[in-house]
Amino acid sequence: MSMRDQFNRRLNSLGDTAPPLFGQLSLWILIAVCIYIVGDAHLTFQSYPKGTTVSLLGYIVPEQFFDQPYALGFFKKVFFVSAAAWSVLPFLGRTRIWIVQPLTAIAPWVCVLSYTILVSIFWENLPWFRHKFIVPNWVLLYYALWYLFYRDDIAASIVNKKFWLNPNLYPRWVYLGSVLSIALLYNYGGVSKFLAAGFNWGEGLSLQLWVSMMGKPDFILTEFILSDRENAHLLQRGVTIVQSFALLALIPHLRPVIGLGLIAFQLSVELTFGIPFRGNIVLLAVFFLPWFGVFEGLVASLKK
Amino acid sequence: MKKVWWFLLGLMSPASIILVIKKIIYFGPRFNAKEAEDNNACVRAFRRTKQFKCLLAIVGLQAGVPIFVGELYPFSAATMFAYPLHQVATYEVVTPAGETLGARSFGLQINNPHDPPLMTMGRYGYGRALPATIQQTGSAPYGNIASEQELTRHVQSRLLNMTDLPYVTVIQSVLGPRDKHQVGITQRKSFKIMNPANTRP
Repeated sequence: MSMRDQFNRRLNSLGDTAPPLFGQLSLWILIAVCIYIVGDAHLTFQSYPKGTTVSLLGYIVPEQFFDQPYALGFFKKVFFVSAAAWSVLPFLGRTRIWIVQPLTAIAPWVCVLSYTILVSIFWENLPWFRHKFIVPNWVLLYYALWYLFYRDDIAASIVNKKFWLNPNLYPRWVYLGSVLSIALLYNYGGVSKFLAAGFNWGEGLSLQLWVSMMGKPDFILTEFILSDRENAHLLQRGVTIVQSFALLALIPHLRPVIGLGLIAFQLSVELTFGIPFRGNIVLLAVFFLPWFGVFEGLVASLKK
Repeated sequence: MKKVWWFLLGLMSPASIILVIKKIIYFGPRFNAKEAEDNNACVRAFRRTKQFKCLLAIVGLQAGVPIFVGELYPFSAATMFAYPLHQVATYEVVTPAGETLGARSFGLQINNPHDPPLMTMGRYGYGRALPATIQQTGSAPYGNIASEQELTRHVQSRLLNMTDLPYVTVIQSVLGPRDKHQVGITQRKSFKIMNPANTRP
């Protein structure tokens, strides 16, 4: 088989579908993660002078929009309502198709847009970046695209009460799009380190300085890093390698290994520096560990 | 011709139930199940191509914007901890009465020590500006250690609004490599800086 044929075969396999059990469970987890991190969005620094535009929304709406104290609260409410509507869709089996169908197309997009707008408002009022909001946003977008492209089939399956075991509902590209979104963020984390400092980034000294300024004093990793530069060097090199090769997670066999490496990295950052990335840890565990295959097997055994 | 109409109608159809009604209206008694199936397959294939093009555009933007344009939420490259430190200065300010004042009130604090400089890789700053600090010059904002002249000029500009203080003592501690294995305070200097606005004898 030629390279071109192989490529076409792989491209076509993106449209292969599976029952939506994993897709729907992962969607609920994703929405729970979003609700959890949205609780951190605030306007504490709104009184500080305006810096620069850091969001796409910042180029669409006037700057005064971000000075409004009520905008964030309003979009939080819209997000919560639309997320709840999206979450309960599979249980609307007793409802008429003309109610379920528009809801299937609209609720996910209201949810994604309200999340994007409220986080944009938060970022436009923040004197630093909060990168933990990015991955859930992209994964949410891929799930909204899933519900948009498959709205007819999803709505019909819900109304006919054949949603959970219908093998034509969850396309492979939703799962791979989610994996790509997570991997890309970490990959760019590695790339930005190379762009900023080249191969000297991981020499250990900078990690020791960050830890001595911001690290939790009694934590075992803090002591390990500060005790010898070689230890810091080892960890820093490890982080660079795992981050820079995160895109290899698109290869199924390597995905769990990279996932575990990134989970270890995020846990270390949180425990050492107190910078939380719990949402990312949950999403890494959902999409990088082999749950998709486990659920496919489960559905197959249920059908038998 | 009918195939074309049916194809276009299939694209516009919002619901499978409406599709069935259209089949009956347009094909009537001549409705042919196989033809309808062929058309459905054709519509599905077309939709699939459209979906792939849409997905390709999204992936392209997701991958391209953070690198070629800059930080533009939700497009982001997560640049935390990208800029390595080699040394860093911390400051304490002590009044003549022995009271320690915060470095922030004299613009001597460290803003975001784990984030890269604001002017690199398409990044032009944050949504809101943090209070200005002396540790913000050059390409490595926290690695530059201010000289006595720079420090005096900077602190005196802040003292102009604090007429009660005749002078302050600024203690500059440099955190850096102590040897090949560990980091620690490598240098500690103390500067007595007079207040040009204080006119009391």
